[in-house]
Amino acid sequence: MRRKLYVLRKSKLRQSWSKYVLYNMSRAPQPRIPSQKTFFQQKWAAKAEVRHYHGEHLTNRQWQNIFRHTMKASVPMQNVRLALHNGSEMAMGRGSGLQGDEGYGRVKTVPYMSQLFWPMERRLDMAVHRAMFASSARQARQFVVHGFVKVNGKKMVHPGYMLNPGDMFSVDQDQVLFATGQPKRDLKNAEGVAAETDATEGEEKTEGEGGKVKAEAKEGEAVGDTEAKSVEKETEEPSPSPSPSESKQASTEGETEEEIRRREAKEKLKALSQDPNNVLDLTKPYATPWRPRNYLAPFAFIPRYLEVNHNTCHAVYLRHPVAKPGLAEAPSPYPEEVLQMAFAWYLRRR
Amino acid sequence: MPARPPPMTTIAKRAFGTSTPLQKGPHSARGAMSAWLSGPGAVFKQPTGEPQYISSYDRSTWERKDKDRNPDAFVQPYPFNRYFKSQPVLTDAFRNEIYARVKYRNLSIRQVSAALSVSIERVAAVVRLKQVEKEHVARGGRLSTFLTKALDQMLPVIDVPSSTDGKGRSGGGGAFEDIQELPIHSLAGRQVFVPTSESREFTRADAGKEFGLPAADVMVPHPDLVTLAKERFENVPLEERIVRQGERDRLEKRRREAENQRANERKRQKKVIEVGRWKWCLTEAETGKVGFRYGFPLPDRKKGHVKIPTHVS
Repeated sequence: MRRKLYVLRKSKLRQSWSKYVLYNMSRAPQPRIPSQKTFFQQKWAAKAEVRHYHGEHLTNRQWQNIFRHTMKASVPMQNVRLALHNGSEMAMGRGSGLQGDEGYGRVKTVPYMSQLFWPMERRLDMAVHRAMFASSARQARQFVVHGFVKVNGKKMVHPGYMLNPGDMFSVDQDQVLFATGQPKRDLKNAEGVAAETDATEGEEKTEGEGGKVKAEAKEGEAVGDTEAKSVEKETEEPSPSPSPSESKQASTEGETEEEIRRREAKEKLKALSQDPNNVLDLTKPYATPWRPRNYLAPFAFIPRYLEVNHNTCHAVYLRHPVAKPGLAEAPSPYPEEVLQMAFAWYLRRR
Repeated sequence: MPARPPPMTTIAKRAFGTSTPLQKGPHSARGAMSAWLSGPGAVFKQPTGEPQYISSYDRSTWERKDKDRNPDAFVQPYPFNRYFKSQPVLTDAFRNEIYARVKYRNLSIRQVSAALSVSIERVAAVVRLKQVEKEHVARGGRLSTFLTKALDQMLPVIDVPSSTDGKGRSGGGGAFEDIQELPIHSLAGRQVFVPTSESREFTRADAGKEFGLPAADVMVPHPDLVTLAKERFENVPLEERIVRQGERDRLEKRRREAENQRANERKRQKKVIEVGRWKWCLTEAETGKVGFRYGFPLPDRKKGHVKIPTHVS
């Protein structure tokens, strides 16, 4: 495996939630196939490009063994059409229906070539990453190898295990929270949001259970500081913790819809530390109370072939990823042209 | 005493950090990155209550695109792949609703799927996952509900549809997914040339027969919905339709029960011993005809034999 994963000089896409990847994605030029080159060179370039992202930690042979030239697809059917016609209307007229293809409206293409890496998404480590249980494909692999992942309740240590439809996999909760949460770097982060929220809702904290735990965890002078601050705040304002509805009423004027949503999201994130399950615990490998890691939102998606329950960190691999009209379920950052060229590369001798 | 040689490995200062404090000037690559991250990239740092993908921003000015004009950009996580979209996920309330319908109202998975417009496999998976969650709580485990709440702030989500009366499913905008999706069978992948007479009515059933498959009306996940639509167009009165559907449900239930009974019978004949991660299914066998033979080499250490299991039961 290569040592250095994130580079800034050549912007490469990686299967990871790192801020380096985000920055590289923000400035990456549109991947293109050099048209002046030979067909072989075009295929080579496309293959080299897509392998920066897809299964970067696998050898070429490992990927070629699971490569399949067949792609899965599904067609949306309409009950009304099935009920009204028996299919013979498609052969009417001169053989292609009375209106031809126009009878069906604008038909979107099925992006089969964007499905190139669907067998890769069957791998256990990739599914763990796609279910948002690990911050990168490599970390997902590590979780599997270190024995944190179970398939159908049995420990599975092979990252190359190909999930079958209906398989349920689970990752150790602490590991998922470690992967998705803020890192525990210094004391400030270890205390989590508690320090930030202190100023606004000091009284609840200090008399509650969380306050006690925090007080034990902190240094003496830090506690003194925050307490002094909260006392100051209380004296300044009669109601230090306004209810969400109240604050909404107070500041709806002059705010756009987006600003309101952002403010609400911020309040909800702050409220995460009020969750009874989200307690301060210095033994955890992540910053507690837990809050989401930075730069997670632009990478957040869960493909439809997975059904995930983050409450217990379990997920079910429902079916293989399929292509539908205008939609490919296998996640890939590359356009169809590049994937098609890579497909042609892997197709040889097959 | 000779000087101690320098250690072969150095102790990592940061476990997973890739950054070095060198070259962080404004003109270096890292300086440019930190400038972008603190400038236009700052919006991506923490969730904003809705999906926040790079594609929803203009890549030159870093202004938000107009949502009405290009709605697709707001669900496209990768700027160059327009075919991959971030599709909504179920909220926890929706999952609880599905679980309650199956578990407490005793509706079949197929009925719940049709009523809530969630695919059959997904309904089954949600019920499984919720069951696991209940057992986890019963064992005294903690739930990471805060993780779900945080992810709801950055993923597109769909809540329980407001008007969810048993059968009357109107094709409103709140449908979670298309439940009548026909997976393309591998047998249907080939092209065939079938000459027929012009007078012949060549239907879907005939086409299916050519490929060795049943007609699409039957292959679809919910053939009952097609039948219902057919009866509606034949002007069958509502009461009659309800009676017929009830009869179909009853037959389906009986079929399922018979299947379960057969499966249980099969299971009863086997002897199952569970030890740790292994589950031994013992069946009657005659000596010398099957299984490991003493003195006969096993090929499991040979080259080319893949040891990764292909399934976990």
